[in-house]
Amino acid sequence: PTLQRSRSSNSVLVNRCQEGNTVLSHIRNVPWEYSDIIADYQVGQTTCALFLSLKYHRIHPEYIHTRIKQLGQHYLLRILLCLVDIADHQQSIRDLTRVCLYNNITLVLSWSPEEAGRYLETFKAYEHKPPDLIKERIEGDYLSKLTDSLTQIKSVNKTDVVTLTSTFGSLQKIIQASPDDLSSCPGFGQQKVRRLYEAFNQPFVLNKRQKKS
Amino acid sequence: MSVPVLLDPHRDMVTDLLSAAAPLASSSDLPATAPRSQTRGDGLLIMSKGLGVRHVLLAFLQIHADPRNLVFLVNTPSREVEQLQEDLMTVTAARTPSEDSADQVHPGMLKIINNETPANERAVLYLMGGIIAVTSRILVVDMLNKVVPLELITGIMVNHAHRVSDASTEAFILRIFREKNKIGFIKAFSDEPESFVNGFWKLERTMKLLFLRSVFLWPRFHVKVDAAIERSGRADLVELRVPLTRSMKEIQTSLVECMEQCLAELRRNNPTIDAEDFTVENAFFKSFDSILRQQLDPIWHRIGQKSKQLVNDLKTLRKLLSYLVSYDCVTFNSFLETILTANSTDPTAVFRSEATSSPWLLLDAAHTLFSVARQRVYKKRPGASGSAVDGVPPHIEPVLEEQPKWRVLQNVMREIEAERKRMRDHGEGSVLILVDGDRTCSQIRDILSGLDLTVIKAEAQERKTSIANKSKGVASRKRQRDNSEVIDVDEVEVPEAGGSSAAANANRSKALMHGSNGTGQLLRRLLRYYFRWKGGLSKVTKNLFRRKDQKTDSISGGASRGGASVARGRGGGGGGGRGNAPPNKRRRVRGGGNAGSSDTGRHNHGGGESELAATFEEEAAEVAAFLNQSDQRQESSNGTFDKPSEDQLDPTSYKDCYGIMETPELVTVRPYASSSNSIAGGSASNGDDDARALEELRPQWIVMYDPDVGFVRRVEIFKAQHPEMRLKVYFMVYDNSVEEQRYLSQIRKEKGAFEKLIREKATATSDELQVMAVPVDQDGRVQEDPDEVFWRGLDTRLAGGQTIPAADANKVIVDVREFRSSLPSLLHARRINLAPCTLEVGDYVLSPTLCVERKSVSDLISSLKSGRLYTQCEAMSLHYKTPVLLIEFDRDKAFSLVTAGEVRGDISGWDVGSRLTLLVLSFPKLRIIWSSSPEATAEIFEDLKKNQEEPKIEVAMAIGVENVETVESAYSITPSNVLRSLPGINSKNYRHIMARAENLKEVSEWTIEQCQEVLGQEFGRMLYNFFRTDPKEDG
Repeated sequence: PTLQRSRSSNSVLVNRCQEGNTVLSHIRNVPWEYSDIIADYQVGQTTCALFLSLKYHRIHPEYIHTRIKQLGQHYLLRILLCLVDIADHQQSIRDLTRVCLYNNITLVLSWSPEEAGRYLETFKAYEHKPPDLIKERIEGDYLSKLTDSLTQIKSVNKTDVVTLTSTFGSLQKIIQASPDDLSSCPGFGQQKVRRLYEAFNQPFVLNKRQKKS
Repeated sequence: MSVPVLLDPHRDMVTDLLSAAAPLASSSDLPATAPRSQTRGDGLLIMSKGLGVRHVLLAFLQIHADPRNLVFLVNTPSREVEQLQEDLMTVTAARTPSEDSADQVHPGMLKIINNETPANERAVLYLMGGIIAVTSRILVVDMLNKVVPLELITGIMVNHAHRVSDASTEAFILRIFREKNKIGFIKAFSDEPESFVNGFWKLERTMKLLFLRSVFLWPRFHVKVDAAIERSGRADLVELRVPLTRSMKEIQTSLVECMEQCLAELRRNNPTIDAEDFTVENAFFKSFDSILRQQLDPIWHRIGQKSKQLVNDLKTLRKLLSYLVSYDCVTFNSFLETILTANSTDPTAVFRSEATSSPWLLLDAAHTLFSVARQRVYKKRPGASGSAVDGVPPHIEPVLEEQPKWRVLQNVMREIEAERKRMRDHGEGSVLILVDGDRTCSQIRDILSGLDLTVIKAEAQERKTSIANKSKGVASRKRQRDNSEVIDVDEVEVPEAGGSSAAANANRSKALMHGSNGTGQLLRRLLRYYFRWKGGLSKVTKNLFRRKDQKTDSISGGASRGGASVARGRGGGGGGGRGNAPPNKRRRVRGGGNAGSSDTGRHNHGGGESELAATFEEEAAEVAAFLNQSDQRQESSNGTFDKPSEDQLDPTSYKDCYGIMETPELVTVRPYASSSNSIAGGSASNGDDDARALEELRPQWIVMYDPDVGFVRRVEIFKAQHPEMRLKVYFMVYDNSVEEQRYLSQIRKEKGAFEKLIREKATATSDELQVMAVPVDQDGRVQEDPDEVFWRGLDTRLAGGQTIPAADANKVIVDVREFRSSLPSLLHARRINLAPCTLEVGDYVLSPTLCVERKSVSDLISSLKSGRLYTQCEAMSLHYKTPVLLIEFDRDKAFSLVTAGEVRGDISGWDVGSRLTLLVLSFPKLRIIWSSSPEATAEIFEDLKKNQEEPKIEVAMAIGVENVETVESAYSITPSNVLRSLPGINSKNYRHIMARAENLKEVSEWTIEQCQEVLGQEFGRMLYNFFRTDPKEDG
């Protein structure tokens, strides 16, 4: 695919046809300027977005096909930013999903102009951001890591995590606690105790036993 | 063991369902064209709770226990199945008493297939026939993989039919079954009539899902049930209405007021909702949650964070209402304190919503609640010093209010004992005490053990009380004893204002000693734990909730944690005793309420005002400091639940008191099966365990410490089955309490439900007035139109409409773990052929190039947070040309990712949208499907399947598999999720751990060398340290 080079890499480039779109007023955290581009928005060197309101799409279903055709094979990451502003959206979204899949476009839905604007500015702002934030092992403080682990168990909430850690101390001690110990904690009903105990003591591999024997 | 007797109504229920034309042995012989008017053994049986579904199920198991049949029992928890198996053996053994019958009574009569049964063994079991209790998820996979001979199935029995919904696997199973098998029966059972009237035409919809046309209703007020119970004469019933103490009433009032405020606030915030059902009375019940959700779910995205918090708060408040009567005062208070602590946490959560604090904590009523709850436990004495008495800090004066029922129970036990003496000739009948929950159960055991003499002996000199009888040895046998020494609750409650230090000291030790009986001892022990726990809590808050720039070693004052909460809510609470405390929400709660409500709780504490304003954590810090200096020598490795030696419980007598079920003792304390861990499979149990307990123990006296509708019925049935037995029942309930209200309306609701069901049924079966019309072909036995079958087989895309092999056409490969969701069932309904297998990469494979990872919204949020989604997308991108992320919303919930008005000024890395953006940027090839419901997903999948090559199961299965062995084994979900969320563990190494260790517990005990061997230097140390970080220790 041929890439369209951006001249000023700091701002979102906006197609003139977007003039009057309320979404523009919600692009606040990054600068934007009008420019002569094929897409509606260019939010990165190789990233572009088409904007579509479902309300408009319902009246002019052919519009988006024309735009996609114009886009050709340009850009590496092509986004269709769709504003869900009708209640009966299922059929439209179903059609758009198929169109996007066949044309190598990533569909992103937003439910308000604010949200759509936020997506555009985030795409620009994060253009060079490494994906560390969504990769594994985000460092946090001890409590949030502990909360994250223990709330994997159904029905355990943050109050329970505080109860557990203030009653037993370390995670190791929490794991070693007997069901009786657990059920004497305030707020721990039989179901919660059972789930906790099972999570710690149930074998990881279910049919390991048979394999060994 | 005795064989449960079938009462007349039970026999009728069985014959109802059995019906004349019901296929017994070889169903396949019956012509498929048999007249449709007969029910052929199909039907839904709904009976009152406690009337004994077990008896009916057992009867059917007996009828079908024959290798020539193939009957499946689904939707039955394993614990229930095991018991049915046991009962079935007993019954069969009793019926055929001959010697050689032992071969016939083989355990294989009711076979169990669960996720531990290997696939090849399952295939053999299906072919062997008989009755098979099987986990639904496994049965559906085996049905789709054609391991189950669908045509040969005699019938399917669905237990707990009220839990079947259109998304449940059971409905899926029945659809597959009916598609291929028009002859076999479907029987469904339920003892929860209320669930069939919740929601819109629930009964009609459930019957449709079950492919049933007839329903049989057996309410408790059915003439035949009534007659059977009356015939044997009723049991003696003593109803004890126990008044609440003054402070309990005060707490109850405060809680109700908080609930009222929450509801009012909720109505105010959401003027559009129908507030008719939003009453405090309704809010007492669990079902209120569903009423609330029904109303709020469709607009869930539009309601603010505040309303969501209110919904959660109502849940918490309802819990507190029931804990008020079921917990002791110490535990109740510490639960309240934990709520406070948890609510003041720093926004550690990824999404701000989780960090919002509860508005009810700021109410005056909440202030009353907290102070009264604390006054039930202890009072603070200003300026006291000295050493600890019995593990309690010097400035603390224990109050330790007993639960009123405890005293009543003790009296009842004495009465029973007296009665037993009077009627010696009748032999010694046993006493059964039924309580709600394991916690209460062990409490009651403690209390009753305190009535025993062996425990009191050591204290005898200190007490003026004459102890009449000498020990009889059997610890649990109760003897009458003058217990007048026990300090009256009211006396303790009213303390002398500003009394002299000496008097206060005396009072204090008196209170500490008070009650040589079990209650006093229990409470004192709990109080010791409480203070130790509080010391721990202080360190935890200090270590976890502090702000980094704050000084950490300050003992006095909330400085150690104060900064955690953002200043908000009421204006500054200046009443704090320590000046150095920074603005702090907690302080505000207390301080703010200080001026207004000082007369509510603490009017008798002259000099204590400043102390009153002290925050919980100040106290906790003090306690911690105190414990540090005095406790070090005797402190054991962990300060949790080691039994202190002062309890004077020598191990032998202790064991006697507690080994309740081990020895045939006269008094048995038991939690209701539905409320216990140890006895039944928890909430999944339908309480039939209680009926078994009755049959096993055959008690002469029954004390219902907590009211339970189902158990009342079980006692009635038990009495009817054994008319010769004498039976006296004590029924205890707190007067004018929420507990009472709950019990009464439970009965009312069940009755109402049946009346409604009867009306619905009447309209359904009468031919003239077809309001709820049941279609004739609802039972799914109608043969398919051959034309339709023909046209479906054609593929119009292929020239000339040539047929392609049906099994390969329109195929989607599904990961077996996905069968917990409703999507596979919906895909199947759209005539997509499902190929279940274990997939390493992706959840659904639509074509050789198209692979889909399905995420519900909550999964999406958590997997973006944990990084799992990144790894999954990485793997999909590596192996498939078109990786797809499916974001699936709930049908009933809002179709939107961000709540309206939640878009904030700045771009934040914590927002879902930002993270999703980052994901899209990282994987330009990744496509996203947004689906408003599983139904919509099914439609979209159908679209995407068009013009695509069919995927190959062998290829899909092999992708991403490093080690062939892993495919064979199934991982238990929760433990592996917890493991993967631990530091040092990522998607690449977690398997190594699961291969090495049996369970999480084993991992937690690994040495640092073991950890590092598996995970490497750095990760190994991280994991090792994480397990051992103890926030209760200074560091």
